[in-house]
Amino acid sequence: MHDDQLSRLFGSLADASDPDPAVADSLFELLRLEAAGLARPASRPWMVLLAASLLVAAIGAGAALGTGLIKLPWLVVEPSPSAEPSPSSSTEPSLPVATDDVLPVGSLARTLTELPLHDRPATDSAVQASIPAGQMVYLQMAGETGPHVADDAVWYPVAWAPDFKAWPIVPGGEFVGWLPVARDGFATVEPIEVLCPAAEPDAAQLAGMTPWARLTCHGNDELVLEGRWIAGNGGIVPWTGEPAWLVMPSFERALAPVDGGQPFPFVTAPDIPVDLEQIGAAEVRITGHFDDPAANECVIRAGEPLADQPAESVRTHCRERFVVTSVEILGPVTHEPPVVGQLVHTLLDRVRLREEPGTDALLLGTLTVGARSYVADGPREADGYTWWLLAGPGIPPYSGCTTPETDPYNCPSWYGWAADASAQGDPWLAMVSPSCPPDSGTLTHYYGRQPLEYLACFGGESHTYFGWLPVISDEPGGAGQCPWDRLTWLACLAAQDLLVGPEGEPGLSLYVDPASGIDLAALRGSWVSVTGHFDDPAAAGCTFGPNPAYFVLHCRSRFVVASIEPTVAP
Amino acid sequence: MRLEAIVADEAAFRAWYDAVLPRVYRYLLSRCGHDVALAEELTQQTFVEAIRRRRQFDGRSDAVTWLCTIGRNKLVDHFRHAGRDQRRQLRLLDGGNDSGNPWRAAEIRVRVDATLARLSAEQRLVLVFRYLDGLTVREIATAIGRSESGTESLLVRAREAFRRAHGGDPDA
Repeated sequence: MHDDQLSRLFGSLADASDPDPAVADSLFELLRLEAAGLARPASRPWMVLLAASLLVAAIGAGAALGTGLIKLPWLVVEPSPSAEPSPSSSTEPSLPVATDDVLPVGSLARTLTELPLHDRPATDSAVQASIPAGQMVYLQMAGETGPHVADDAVWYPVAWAPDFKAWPIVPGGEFVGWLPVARDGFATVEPIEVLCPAAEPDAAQLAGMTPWARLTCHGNDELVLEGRWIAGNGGIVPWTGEPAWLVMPSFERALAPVDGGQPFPFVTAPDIPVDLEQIGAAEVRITGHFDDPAANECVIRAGEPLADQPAESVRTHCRERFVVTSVEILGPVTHEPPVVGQLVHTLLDRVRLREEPGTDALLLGTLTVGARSYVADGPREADGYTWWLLAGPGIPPYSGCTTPETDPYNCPSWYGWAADASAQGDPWLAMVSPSCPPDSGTLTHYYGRQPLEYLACFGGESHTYFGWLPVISDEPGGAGQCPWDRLTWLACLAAQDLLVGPEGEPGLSLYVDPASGIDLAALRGSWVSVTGHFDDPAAAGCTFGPNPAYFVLHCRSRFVVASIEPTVAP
Repeated sequence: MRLEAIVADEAAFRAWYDAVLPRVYRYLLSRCGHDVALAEELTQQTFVEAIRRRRQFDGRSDAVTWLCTIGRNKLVDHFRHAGRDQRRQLRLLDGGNDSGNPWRAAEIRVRVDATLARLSAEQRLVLVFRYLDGLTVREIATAIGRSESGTESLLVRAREAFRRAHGGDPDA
C-alpha cells in the first residue's frame, strides 16, 4: 500500500458533521465563564451526579466489588429456551400504548425498540449511544429523576452497558443518560418483572440482588439470615438526613455469608439490645425486614449534598434497607490459617496489602472489611506476622472501575501480601467456604460467582456443561476475534463465546485454543454439550499488564473448551 | 485581531466561536474514530485551554490552525491514556457516524476506523498525523515527543500493521 493510497484512504475520515448546538452553547457558556475567571474545572456536573448515584446504588446493593460477570437467575431477562434469543425489532406503531405507571428507581426495564440515550431529556441533546431493542437498562437514582416530559416523550435517567444482563451493572464503561421510555403515546420500554428466588433467601442471594428486587421480592417479610458479622461497612456517599440510622450509609453494617458470597449490607434498628460494635467478629443469626415504616419519615436535610433528591427517591432508598431487629450470637470467628488456592475475607477494615511480606515493604493499599481474596501464596513469616499473597477476585485490568483507588481498593483487583492476624492472635483474615457448583450438568450454580471462585472450587478438573451457544458476531470487538495481536488467546478479554444456561441466563465464558481445531462458530445458535477445564497450562503465557503474575492467575480461572458437541434441546 | 481582544467583547467572541468551532470539532471528530462524545470532550478541552492561553495568540496566524495544534496535543494525551484503555478502543471500533455521507464513503471510513482501532494508540496517531494531516516526520516527532528516527520506525511499523489489518493487497 503506497503513501498516496494511504492518503486517499485516510481522506475518507474527514467529517463534515457539525457539533450539537446544545453542546456548542454550553461550551460557549463555559468559555465565557473561563474568560471571566469564574469557571469551575471543566466537567459535566450532571454526569458526575449520575456517577455518584450509581455508586449509591452499588453500595446499597453491597455489590460494589462486582465484576460484571455476576449472573443472577432471578434478575435476568429471559430469552426463549427453545430458540435463539432474538430481541424484537418493533416498529413504533406496533409498540404498546404508554401508561402513566411510574418506573421505580432501582428497577430494570427492557428496550422494545432501538432507542437513543441522550445527554439531557430533550431530543436535541447529544446522543451518547444507541441502545438496541431487547437490552436491559437500569433506572437510575439521580439529582433529577424521571418521569420528565419533553418533546412528546417521557424521559428517565438510566444506566446501560452493552449486553448488561444482570446486577450489578459494571460501574465503568457504561453509559448513563436520559432515555425516552415513551414516545408519542407509545411505550418504548417494558418493566422487567423481578423473578424472585423460590426458596427462603440467604445472605448471599440477597447481596446479589438489586435493592429494588430485594424490596419487591420480600416486602417487609421477616427474614432470618446467618453469616459472619463484620464491622461497620460505612459509606462514602454524602447522604445526610433523618433518621440517620436509616438514611446514612455510614450506619451500614454487613453480614458476610460464610460460603464466601458478597457481604450483605444492613442497618440496625436503634432499639436492638445487642451492640454489634462491642462484640467484634462473630458468627451471628440476624432477623429483620425491608420496607421499615420509618422509611416514610426519611428526608435529606435542606442544604445538604443531594438535598434536591426527589422525596420519593429518598424514601425508596430507605425502604430498600434491611433493618435488623434482633441479633443472636452463634459464636466467635475462630482463627484458622488461610490455605493457598482457597478464599479468605477480611474481618476488619483497612487491612494493609504490601508488595512483599514484612511491615517495611511497600504499602500497596488497604482492603475494606469483608473483601474476599484468593490466596495465591504463603505463608511467609516476617516481623512477627504470618503473611499471605492475596489476589482480588475480579479480572484485571478492566474490573469495571473508572477511577481505581487503592486506599481502600474500590475495584476487586489487587495482588499483595497481608498478615492474617494481629501480633496478639486476633484474626484479620478468615477462610470462607464457597459452596461449589456441581462438577457437571447445568450452569445454574455459576451465577453470582467470580472467576477465582471457579479456580478455588475446581482446579483443573474436567467438567461437562450443557447449554445454548448464542449467535454472536465474528467482527473484531464481538466474540470471534481478539483484536489485540499482542495478547494470547487465553488473555483476550474480547474473544469470548458464552454458554447460556437452559433457563436462558448468560453463563460461562468459553475460551478455545486456536491450535485445538475446535470451531465454536459452526455450532453457534444451537444446544451444545461442552467439556473443558479451568486452570489450563496456557495460562502461563498470560503475562500481560503491569502485574503479569496476577493476570496469569486470572487466565487460570478461565474455562477452556476441550470438546464440544451439538445436542438436543431440553 | 488578538484573541484577548475578541474575548473581551462578548458579541465578537460568540461570532468568532461560531466560526471556528465547527472546523475544530470536525478536525477532532475525524481523528478520534468518529466518536462524538470523545470529539466533544476534546473540543471542550481544546477551547478551554485556548481561552486560558489567549494572550499567546496574537492574531497573525489562522486561529483554527492554532486551535487544531492544541487539539492535536489533546488527542495525543488522550490516546496515550487510551493505550491503557482497550474499552475505548472497542468504542472507537463502533464509533462510526455516517449520516449524510454517501454510503460508499461511509463504508470506507468505517473500515478505516475499524482498522485503526486494531492498532496501538501510537500507531493510530502517527498514521492519522501523516496521512490525514499531512504532517512531516519531524512535525509528528515533535507532536508525540519522540526522536525523528524513532518516529520513522514507528511509522514504518504502523504502515505495515495497518496494511495487514486492513487486508488490502500488499503490493497495491
